[in-house]
Amino acid sequence: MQLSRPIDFIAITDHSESFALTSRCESTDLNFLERATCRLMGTPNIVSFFIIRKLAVAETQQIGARVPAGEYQPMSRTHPKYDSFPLCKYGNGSPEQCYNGSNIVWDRYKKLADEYNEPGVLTTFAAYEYTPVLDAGGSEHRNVLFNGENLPEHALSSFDVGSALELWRGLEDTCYGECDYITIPHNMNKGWGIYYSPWALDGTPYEAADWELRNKREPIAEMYQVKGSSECALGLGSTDEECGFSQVLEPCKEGELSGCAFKTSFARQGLKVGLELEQELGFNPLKFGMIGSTDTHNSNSGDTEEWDFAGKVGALTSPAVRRQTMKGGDKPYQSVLKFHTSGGLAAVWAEENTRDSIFSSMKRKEVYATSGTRITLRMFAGWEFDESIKGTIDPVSIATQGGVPMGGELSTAAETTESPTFFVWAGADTLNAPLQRIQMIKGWIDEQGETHEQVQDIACSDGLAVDPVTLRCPDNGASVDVSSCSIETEKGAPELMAAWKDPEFDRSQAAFYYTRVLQNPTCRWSTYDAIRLGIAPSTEVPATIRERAWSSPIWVAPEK
Amino acid sequence: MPKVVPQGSWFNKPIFQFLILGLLAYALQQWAGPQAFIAVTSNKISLLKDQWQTSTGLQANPARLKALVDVYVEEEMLFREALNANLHEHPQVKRRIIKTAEFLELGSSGDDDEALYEKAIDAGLHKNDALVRSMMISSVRNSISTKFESITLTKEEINQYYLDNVDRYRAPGRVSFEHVFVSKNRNADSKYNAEELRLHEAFSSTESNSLASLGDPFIKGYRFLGLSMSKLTELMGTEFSQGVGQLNIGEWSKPIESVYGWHLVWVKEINPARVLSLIEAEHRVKRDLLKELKAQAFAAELSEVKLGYKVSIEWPGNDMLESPQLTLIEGNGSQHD
Repeated sequence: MQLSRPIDFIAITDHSESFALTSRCESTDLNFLERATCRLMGTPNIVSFFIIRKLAVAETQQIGARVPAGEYQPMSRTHPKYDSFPLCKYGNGSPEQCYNGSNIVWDRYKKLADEYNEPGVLTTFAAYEYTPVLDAGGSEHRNVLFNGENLPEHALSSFDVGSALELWRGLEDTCYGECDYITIPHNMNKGWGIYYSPWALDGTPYEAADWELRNKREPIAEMYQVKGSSECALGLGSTDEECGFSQVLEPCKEGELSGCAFKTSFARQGLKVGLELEQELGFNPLKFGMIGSTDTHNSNSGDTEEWDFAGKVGALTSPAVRRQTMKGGDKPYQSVLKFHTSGGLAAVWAEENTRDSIFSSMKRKEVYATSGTRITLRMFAGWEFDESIKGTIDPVSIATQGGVPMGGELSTAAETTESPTFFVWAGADTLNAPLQRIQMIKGWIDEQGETHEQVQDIACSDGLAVDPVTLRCPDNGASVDVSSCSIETEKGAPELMAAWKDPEFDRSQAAFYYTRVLQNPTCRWSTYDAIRLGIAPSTEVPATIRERAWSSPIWVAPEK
Repeated sequence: MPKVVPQGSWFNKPIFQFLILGLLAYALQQWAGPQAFIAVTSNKISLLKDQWQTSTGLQANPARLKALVDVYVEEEMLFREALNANLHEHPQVKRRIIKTAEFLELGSSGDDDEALYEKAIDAGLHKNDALVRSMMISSVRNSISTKFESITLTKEEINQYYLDNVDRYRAPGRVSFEHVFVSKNRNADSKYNAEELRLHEAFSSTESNSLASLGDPFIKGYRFLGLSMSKLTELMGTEFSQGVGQLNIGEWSKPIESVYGWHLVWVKEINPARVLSLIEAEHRVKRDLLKELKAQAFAAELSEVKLGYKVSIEWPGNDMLESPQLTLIEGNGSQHD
């Protein structure tokens, strides 16, 4: 396996829960049950995976009255401890040994990250994934990335702490001084509504101090990965047609508490919740940037191209014939064929390829997400430039000096009457399809405290103009030959640029703006598989996809 | 007339017969060599092939089949080592064996665990249970690996490894250039416009004067410092990087095409690929050497184990009854091939 192009930085985020389990399996004094568990874990096996996962599901109890369908139902949960697993329960495999053993494994990850970190060539971060497990295959997981020195001796897992609040507190206690960390919510679409609810997993409601801590330590969110898009979902506060991209979860029906799409599982809704919280708290704790990532569990970071997708957990979903047939369960999101994407990428605007520089970019949210393609994307907003910026030779310098980049915030002075200019520039991936359009997504909160959103195209390829009624570019007619996956390179644009003002700008309203750049369609991984297998592409999924990039938002708020 | 050994002769005494049999057994062992024998039959190979197909959905090609057989042989050796070390008497393994014996109803009423275990051993359960086998192999592997966790490196070793593998420690060729861009998006005939622009007097200069403003804005910038060719390809496409790779230093090029448009390029500097000094490469050298030493140490230990075994492999397709096709692999240092 080799990437078509190198990647610049990487964080291997294995589950910290597994650190304890794998370390115990390396011991020579295991009893029968421990060895049996190790045996199960050591062999790629979907049955043993589900058995182990089931052991990690917390015991739950509903808090308060039932909430309407699609809203997060507060629950109190008793998180599993080390001794929830046979491996850490009986005989010599005491919980203490598992705890201590996990430190040995975590130490190896830290050393591995240091061993392969080559400034200017490949930056590697020490990292892990914290994964409290929910029912129906859900999780409220977060990736934890570290920078600096004196990293914690212990990687916190869901056997140690039962909620994100406890995770941050635990990290604050153990990562200080020269140690720095961020957490990244992961695969929110399968969090059953917890991510942007005001509740912690153990049933604790967020206090202002908790929101502050989250605001400080959670600057970015992963809104695209192998298990689909967590940008937005149709019918859950969004009517934007592109919210159907990489979605298989249906909006929750009455009585469903998991296995369906919740409003507060998606980034766009999270950004809106942030605007609401700002009115309550006096600050917006959910100002987060956007990244994509893989989560393929294949140790193949950056391998996101549709043409060589090896499957999520390739040991189970390869070869191609398995991916075409594995159902996984009754629900669409359990089907490999329907649910899995080829994974996304995280892009950062950093001064240099070093840990400090990339980590700073993530903290200031000057990052963007892609669905696996390598689109170049810049976005700025400012009062000091206008439409004429498009005619200048170095618009980035002008926009940098006269505005803020993606992830930034603009304050609206009292005397301001018109919209700032949003400058957006996108370049196509050199190995992928040309671009089709740039879209601007705006979310805002009105005087009554109601949030709203609007999506409109702001740049079209092929000389086309945005329809003033639909606010969309006409289809440029780009097509794909699904028998060979060849594309029309004459349609679409190698780059697109827009300098846009919001015609409905209201200086009294707090708002966020982010962009979405869409490519011409290309073959989905399942179609490449079908060609290799000599069969027709599945009719259960689209034969093509429209790859894309999402910028981090820029917030525009009335001056306080 | 045949001689009759008289009754009560020393020849009929059990002790004498025991000695004779012992001597015969010793001679046989000497003739056969000290090694244990592992036979991989064609049936076994077919089984490995079927298991592979079941678990992956793929047919095992000859290379894969050889790898599967190699793994089997290695595991069989390790398993026998575990048996020799009586790991089947380890309490946890013993417990598994007793549980299996209970399931198979090997015992009689009144048998305690020890009696049941003895019966299980007589029935060969410790050799036939897949989990017991796996547990024992894993134990042996772990005990070998843990011997090499704390290998330390000397300066001499690092230096020698660097010298022996110096070709692995190379910096790629790098190019620094600036360019003027003519956008496909902004120009109906961008190639023509780029050619026209190239005629501008500024491009006859023998010094680069940052002429980017004569062209269109370019999203990836105008000055590139120390880009490797692979990075250049990633940023601009293959056609462009190949074009730049052929340019001379200090002159404006003819238009070179990229995914985005046409570029007039001034190469400022080319740093050819070079060997890194030890100081530059030390981090990688240490990492690679350590990895290799650990792998070597494990392999050496395994080779020691293998010396005690003789292996025959009967590849399918050969008629075993008439002409058994034996392949001897590692561990065949004995004179009794």
